[in-house]
Amino acid sequence: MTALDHTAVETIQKDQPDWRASQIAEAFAAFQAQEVPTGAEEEWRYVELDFDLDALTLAADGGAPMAPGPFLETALGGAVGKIQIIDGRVVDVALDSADVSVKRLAEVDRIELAAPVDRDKFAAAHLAFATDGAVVSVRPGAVVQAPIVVDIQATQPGTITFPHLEFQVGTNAEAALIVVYRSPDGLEAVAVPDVVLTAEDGAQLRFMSVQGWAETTTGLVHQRLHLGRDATGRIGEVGLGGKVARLDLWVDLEGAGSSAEVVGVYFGEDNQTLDYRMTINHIGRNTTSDVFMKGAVEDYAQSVFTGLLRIEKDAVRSSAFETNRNLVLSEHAKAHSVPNLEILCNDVMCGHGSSVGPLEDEYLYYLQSRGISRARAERMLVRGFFSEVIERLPIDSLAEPIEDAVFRRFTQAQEEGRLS
Amino acid sequence: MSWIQVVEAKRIPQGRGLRVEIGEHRIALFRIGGDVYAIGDRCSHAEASLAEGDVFGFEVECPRHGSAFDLRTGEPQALPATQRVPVYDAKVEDGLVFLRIGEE
Repeated sequence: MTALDHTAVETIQKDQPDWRASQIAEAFAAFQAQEVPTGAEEEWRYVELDFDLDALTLAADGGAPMAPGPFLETALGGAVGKIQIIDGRVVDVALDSADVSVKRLAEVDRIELAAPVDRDKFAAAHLAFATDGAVVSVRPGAVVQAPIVVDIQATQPGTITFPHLEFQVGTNAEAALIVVYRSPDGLEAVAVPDVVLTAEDGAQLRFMSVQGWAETTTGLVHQRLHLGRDATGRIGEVGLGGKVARLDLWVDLEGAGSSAEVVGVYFGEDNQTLDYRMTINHIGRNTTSDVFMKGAVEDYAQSVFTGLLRIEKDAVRSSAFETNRNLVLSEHAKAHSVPNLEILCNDVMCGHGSSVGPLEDEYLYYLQSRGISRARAERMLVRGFFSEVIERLPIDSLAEPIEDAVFRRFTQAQEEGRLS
Repeated sequence: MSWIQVVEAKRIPQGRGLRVEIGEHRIALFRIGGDVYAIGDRCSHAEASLAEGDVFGFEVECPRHGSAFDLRTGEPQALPATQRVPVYDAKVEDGLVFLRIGEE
């Protein structure tokens, strides 16, 4: 059991090639130079991290794997490959396609990072302390319809782990990847995954992640999507678990004609914080983006959505839209929604919409006037609210288990009388 | 009329239905505790699959318009549906579900 200190860094550096050892030294310096966010920073507003970073230790080896849950079982059903990352260690790789290859972090000569080390203390920690990870590559021109599934788990109490994942879809190739984040019930731990998705020119990439951490685990995910010329990226984000489940997402529309769609659904209960911070960078001309996030919170849960659409000077003829809709179902639940635009170019189409509120009284009244009980009317409205976003998730096979999980959360809150 | 073996009981999720087709019959199966109930899958109000509805007590709620039906009698319990849906005899033996389809 080692803390995140000099001794740990030196131990890790010993087994590394020179380039990586010096990278670790720089990352560790950046780690030491930054403070744990307190919530006073704009980027961390509304978020309270209640763990003591100094008391956390690095995981020794990968712990005992958990049995597959409902999402994973469904995902694995039609999968073309499976990767298991436990406490930051890759413990299993199984592939059914010659078009896909997986390298471990020790086999690569550069590491891609979603977040620069000065983004926050955790991004720096990731680069300094990640010792293993998977780099998944899809051969140019290959069409791999079935998804590759990555099962990322945190299993050891009191640890902070750094799962690392890169997914590179080659020129004109098509591929899909699903990540499921999990931890056993009651596990107090912190996970800091870093996920880099790259769609080369003309590639089509689909990605979905399900944050299904235990409600005592904190997950702080940094994730970035790079899009080449005429590339398409479709991202689906599902937020259910986690004490604090945060996603920092950057989408870089670098190539001309590239397009990105980000669709998300989340449902917070107890005193969870589900935190989404997105930046969509339109860099190339003729680029298109659409962000569509819908969520609900009940009990003492809160959700945060901040979305920045940034249109660079050369990104002419770009179009960018973002929508965030929130249902606040209990008196003490909160949803914060802050869409932003930063436009440096005058030939663009941009739009944003955001709403926070309870189920519409008028709709409830209408349904009740047709002889439907209030409880039933509420269930119908909630189902309708979410079906619109669940239908747009990029990987169809997960739609049903996600709809079930979301709806079950609602009916449970309803039965236990937590709705206001 | 004889009993027809249809499916393993454990394949029917708790709280949700499973649709099976036997001849021209589209049937929604539900499991509550150890018992299985079988009713017509098509909601009597509009085209919707009751197997996709949610179960509260002995009622299934149509996912499209909120009509509810009693799983034991097929009688509607909530508007907009006003007509009952067919009910089929179902039993579980050795973990297998058997149905008896009448003239209904």
